[in-house]
Amino acid sequence: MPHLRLVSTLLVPATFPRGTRGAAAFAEEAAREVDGGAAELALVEAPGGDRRAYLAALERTAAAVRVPLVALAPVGSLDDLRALLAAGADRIDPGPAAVATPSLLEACASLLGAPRLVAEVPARRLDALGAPAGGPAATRPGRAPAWARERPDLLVAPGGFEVVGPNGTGTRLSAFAWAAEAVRRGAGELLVTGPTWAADPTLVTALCRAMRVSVAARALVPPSDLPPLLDGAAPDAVHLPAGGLAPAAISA
Amino acid sequence: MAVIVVETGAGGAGAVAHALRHLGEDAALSSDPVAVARAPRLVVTGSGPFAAARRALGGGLDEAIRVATLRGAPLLGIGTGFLVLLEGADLPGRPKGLGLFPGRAVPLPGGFGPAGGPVRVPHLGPDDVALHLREGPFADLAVRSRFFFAHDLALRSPRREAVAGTCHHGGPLDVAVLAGNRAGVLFHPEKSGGPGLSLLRAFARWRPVPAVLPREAAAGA
Repeated sequence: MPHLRLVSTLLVPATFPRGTRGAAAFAEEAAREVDGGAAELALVEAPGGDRRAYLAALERTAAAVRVPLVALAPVGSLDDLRALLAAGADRIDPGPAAVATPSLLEACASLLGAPRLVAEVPARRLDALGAPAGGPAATRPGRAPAWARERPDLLVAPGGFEVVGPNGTGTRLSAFAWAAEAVRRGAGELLVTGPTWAADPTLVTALCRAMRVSVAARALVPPSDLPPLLDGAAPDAVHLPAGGLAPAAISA
Repeated sequence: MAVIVVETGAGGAGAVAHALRHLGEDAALSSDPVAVARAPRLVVTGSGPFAAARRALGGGLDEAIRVATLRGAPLLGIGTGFLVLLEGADLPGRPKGLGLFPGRAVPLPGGFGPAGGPVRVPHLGPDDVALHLREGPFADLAVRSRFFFAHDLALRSPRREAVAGTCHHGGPLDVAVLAGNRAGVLFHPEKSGGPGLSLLRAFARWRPVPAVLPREAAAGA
């Protein structure tokens, strides 16, 4: 049974400085995260980011550390995938765009295989009346993606968890239905996230029990105690913001 | 002595070369069949689908790997790069491997663990490996070492004496094999920190006595 992975998440900013020093400085920061206890690194490309700068950061990081690298970057073609692999990505998460276009996952899986393909499950809880919980920032309604509109079984019910699209817009899609769909289309790992960062623990536990693939979850702090993984209720990996690894987590 | 890491374009080769260079070893990537056939020692790595990994060894790379191995060059297969060196895979179309190791790749069984939790497929993350043969590339490892896994195929090896390491994921899994001048691992030493570096360092210095596998002996008779 694999051990819990603590994953440090680093943002490659849209204004990442071009040139060797910028990528080198980024790789040094990444190496410090590994020294601090990260079992993996997740490199997020900022919206509108410069792909060349992102690939340079990925390449320099791959040369500097001996842990798996997860690339969280939009993918528009198989050439994009190949470029990410060539730069050193071990697994690839094409991001929330897959919710609108799930065939993207199948295209990625054909090249990567399930062990290297991560699908995001960005979700928020709905209240008993079907309205988004969590305050004004999470109140924007939305439409179901085209592929799911004729599938009422995929839509979220009041009190359930709704998949959130880009910019925090609701999709009316059930997080459970999307998770199952993503796995059916080839994803080998699910990354559960919340409207801002942290995933809802109730959703994470339910997905961990229901799904056969690895379930990773974003959290703001490392788990203070590590529950036994044997009953399948705890995530296989926890994604933290860079610098979020506390000593308690490292000793765990 | 230089290590040639076969570059198939499927990813992963660069990380192995980086790790070897980090250890001070002379490592180079190559997709040139001539260079591969002449390699003093060879690494074949990969982590994608079996069929894609096998296709990536077309264009003469498969024959070059056979030549180098039969010449006695130490060979290390990693991940899917190891599985394609087996006889084949029990997958749709029953794709053939290079036949450099006995055994086949089979889908990783799922099911439920002892406490009722689902056994995850793919097998993903760091897991403990029990080493049964601590020689060759495994000589410097602790009896129980932790390595990073990312695979959805398992190894079914008919030669128990060649199984160098096992782990437990829903049931026992053979994850490391040693046969003559050939070693294969299902995990990724290049992504496994200290134990992985120990394995790669030992491989780079390994001087095996080439062994003739039964199938090759029969072919030569």
